[in-house]
Amino acid sequence: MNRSSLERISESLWEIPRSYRDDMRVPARFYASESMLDDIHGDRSLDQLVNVATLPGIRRYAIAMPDAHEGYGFPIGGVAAFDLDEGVISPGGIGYDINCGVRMLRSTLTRHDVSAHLEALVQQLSREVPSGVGRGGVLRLDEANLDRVLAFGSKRMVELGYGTEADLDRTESRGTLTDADPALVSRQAKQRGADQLGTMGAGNHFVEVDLVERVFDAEAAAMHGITEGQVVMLIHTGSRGLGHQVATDYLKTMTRAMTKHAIRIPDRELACVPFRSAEGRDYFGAMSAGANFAWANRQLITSEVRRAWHAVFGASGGTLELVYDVAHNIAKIEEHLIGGHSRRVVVHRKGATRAFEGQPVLIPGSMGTASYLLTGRREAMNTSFGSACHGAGRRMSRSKAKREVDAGELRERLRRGGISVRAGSNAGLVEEAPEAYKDVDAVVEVVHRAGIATKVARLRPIAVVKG
Amino acid sequence: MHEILPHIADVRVRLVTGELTSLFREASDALFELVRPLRAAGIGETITLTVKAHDSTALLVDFLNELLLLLETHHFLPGQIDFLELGDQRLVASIAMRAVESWERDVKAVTYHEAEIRSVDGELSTTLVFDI
Repeated sequence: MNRSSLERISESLWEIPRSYRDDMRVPARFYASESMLDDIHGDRSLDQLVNVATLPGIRRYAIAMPDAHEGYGFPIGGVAAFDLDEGVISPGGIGYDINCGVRMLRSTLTRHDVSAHLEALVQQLSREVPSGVGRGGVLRLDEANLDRVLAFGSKRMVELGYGTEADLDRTESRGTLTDADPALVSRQAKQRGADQLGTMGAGNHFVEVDLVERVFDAEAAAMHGITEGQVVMLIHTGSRGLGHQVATDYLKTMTRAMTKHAIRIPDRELACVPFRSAEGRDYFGAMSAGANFAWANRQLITSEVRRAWHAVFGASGGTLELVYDVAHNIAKIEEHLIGGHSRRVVVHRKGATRAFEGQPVLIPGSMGTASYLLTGRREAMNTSFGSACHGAGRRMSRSKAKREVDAGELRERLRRGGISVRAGSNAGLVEEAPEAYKDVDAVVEVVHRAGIATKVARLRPIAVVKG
Repeated sequence: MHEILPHIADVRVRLVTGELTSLFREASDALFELVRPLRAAGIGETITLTVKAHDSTALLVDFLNELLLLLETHHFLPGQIDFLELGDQRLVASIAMRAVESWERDVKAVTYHEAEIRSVDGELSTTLVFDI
């Protein structure tokens, strides 16, 4: 695909028309600034987006956010809405890490209060929050109790004493998808997740201490209790092995069932079935249970982070209050205006954040740059099915990052930048180096200018704990 | 043989071998090279694994995902794999397992993306994308 295949819709929005490929059912649209086009053309993300536009029952557009990059099946940063009666559901449109997401906690302390204790906090966080692979959590649940977590998500964690009602009020969907059915989650998936509740995992997952460096929207920031100079925390993780296995199980089921439903797809990883089919309903119930597990996971990690905070700062540290928790790998049934009528659709967001009007949107950047708090805007409902980006987005492969980045130099560079890092391995650390990611400021500027979510505050990392 | 090809977010591996059993073994080697096991013990328990799929490509992907499941749920990685049966839609493998204490990299799944076993000039090849 080259530049001549694109039509510019607005300053930040581009379209690949339906005429680009015979099998497209709708156009494909993506958000980007002019200067981002080279990066976007540098991988297969737009070809993958065109593939999404061929799926049955897709409505209006297949959409990619400015942090989009090549994934498998859908591009990462992809959004697509499918008609409930005529459309499909596809695990490849959600990803293996079901309900991977981010939550933000605010403290009452400033940089001045925490700087002398930062190393102690990093050590305590490493002790309290199990990370890496093959390391289980402290909460071991039998199947009946695991099923309650799968059915009720964060709510179950609060019942067990790992959070408060206020935490639920500040979590997308209050941390529970009511369509969840634990009976639709395989024994293998439950086995895989049995000891992983309250664990971060590895890869790009982290617990991070940040400083509110700049407030752009004082009114919105005040609503969230955010002020410049304040110390906040971000938690980024998902449904761990349980979610991965749910996706694996149902991709297999759907691959087999597609013949029966006469569905042809351009990529095996886009395996899908009609949403109303037995297989579609089963996957939606299992995916919802996986999403609940992820919310429970972030809620339990929140409790661990609060314990670490209290151990370091005692009563003078105050309490860590939840600002918000968002999912960025999920499918949800929502109402959107299509052709002048309100329609119920199943919105797939794979590496994209819900950005309903007034909703906080959390955009974590790379460990050496910045993260953002934004607010969703009405324009998102008009143009992106109420969605915004989910991060900076990768621009460099892991193998290239390993070739080009030296772990010692990176640690020193981060230290000089005032960022304390604890990582499970040097290999994992360099793969997540800041230069492996796009410029988060530029990515956020695109969604801000497009009017789908506007900037509230910019956060700067001061300590990062990675798996 | 297998080689790592560029992929922005995940890991893309190209596999080329002479016949199906070596393709499956090579794919297993590539998977555990990515996983980077730490402190693996010697050969221990032997298990029999049966996998069914609708074609040989899906069989390969599903087989590798079964190995991942064994790693995550039992901390086992394959020491030696003997294919007792390997067709286009079903395999039965006897696998001598090695216990592993931990590993460095979280491979979430082996995807079907770009996977297609092809036979060209007497060689079998496929690409696999591993979700990291």
